[in-house]
Amino acid sequence: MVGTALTVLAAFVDFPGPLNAVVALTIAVVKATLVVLFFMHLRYSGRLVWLTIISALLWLAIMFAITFSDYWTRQWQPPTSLF
Amino acid sequence: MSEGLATTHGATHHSSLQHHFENMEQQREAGTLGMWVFLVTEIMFFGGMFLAYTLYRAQYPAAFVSASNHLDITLGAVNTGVLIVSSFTMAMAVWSTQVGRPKRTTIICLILTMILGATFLGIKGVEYHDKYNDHLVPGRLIPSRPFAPEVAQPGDTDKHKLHLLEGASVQNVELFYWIYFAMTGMHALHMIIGLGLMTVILILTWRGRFSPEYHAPVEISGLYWHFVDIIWIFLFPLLYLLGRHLEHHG
Repeated sequence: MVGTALTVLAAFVDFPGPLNAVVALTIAVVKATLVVLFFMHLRYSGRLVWLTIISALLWLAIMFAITFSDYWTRQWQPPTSLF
Repeated sequence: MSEGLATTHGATHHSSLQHHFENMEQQREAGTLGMWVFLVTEIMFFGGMFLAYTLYRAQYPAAFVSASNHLDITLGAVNTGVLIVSSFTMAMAVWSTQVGRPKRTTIICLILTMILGATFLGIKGVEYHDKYNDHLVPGRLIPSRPFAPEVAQPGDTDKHKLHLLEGASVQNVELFYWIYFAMTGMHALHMIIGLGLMTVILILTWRGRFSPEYHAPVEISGLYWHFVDIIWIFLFPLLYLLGRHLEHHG
């Protein structure tokens, strides 16, 4: 609840550059972590459950990284004199 | 033979223990792990939509900010609170079964969770109706009411009109609303499924099926409920809050 109030307040503050998104997402991650650790009993769960969640996050990161490596590099100049 | 224990082929065990498990603890762990694996597939499923959101937000920042600022931040924030409290009552229901509280306690917690879940869906419905009124349902999802928001002129403060920032096009605002309706719609569907699960758990609790020794179904449904809450924890800032700090610049 505190996190929600915080994230709404933070949204109206003008942080420099992309920091607004960073602040909002950091609060979201903290809230989600609290829910997972305590409501979902991850703190008291075995290593197998930890491994499952970490693998999910890892694969999610791979999906984002590969897709963005494509979009990010699309506007780059093609090499002109390779051959 | 004591209550809750069954004797078959010479072995004494809890009546809820399936034969392919050694003991109740192993059965519970296997069930929990299975649920987590399912949640992993759900993370990947929603992950795809989060990826689409991130890509298009990076490409059309002005349109996304304009579209997001049109959403009702109060309703969104209230709904976030409603879901977090419902997660808390759900956790209380799981706890109450685990420690063997009278089943009345569990039932009250479950009913509170369901009321809060229904409240969330109700508020979501109000928001969808607002979008319908403002002609913001994308494409021809509703054939008689295609996407056609009224664009506000500079100086116009009508909340029902679309206030475009510089560089934002109506088409890209429509793209935002496709993503908005896809993500919140899938999330709402998960909430409805969650309410169905809660109904089953409520009936089983009523019938006294659960005990501190056997409460895996309550726990697993709780995991699902919390997961749906977590998705919203991310949806709320991403969809509602992304450009509030730019509101007065436009």
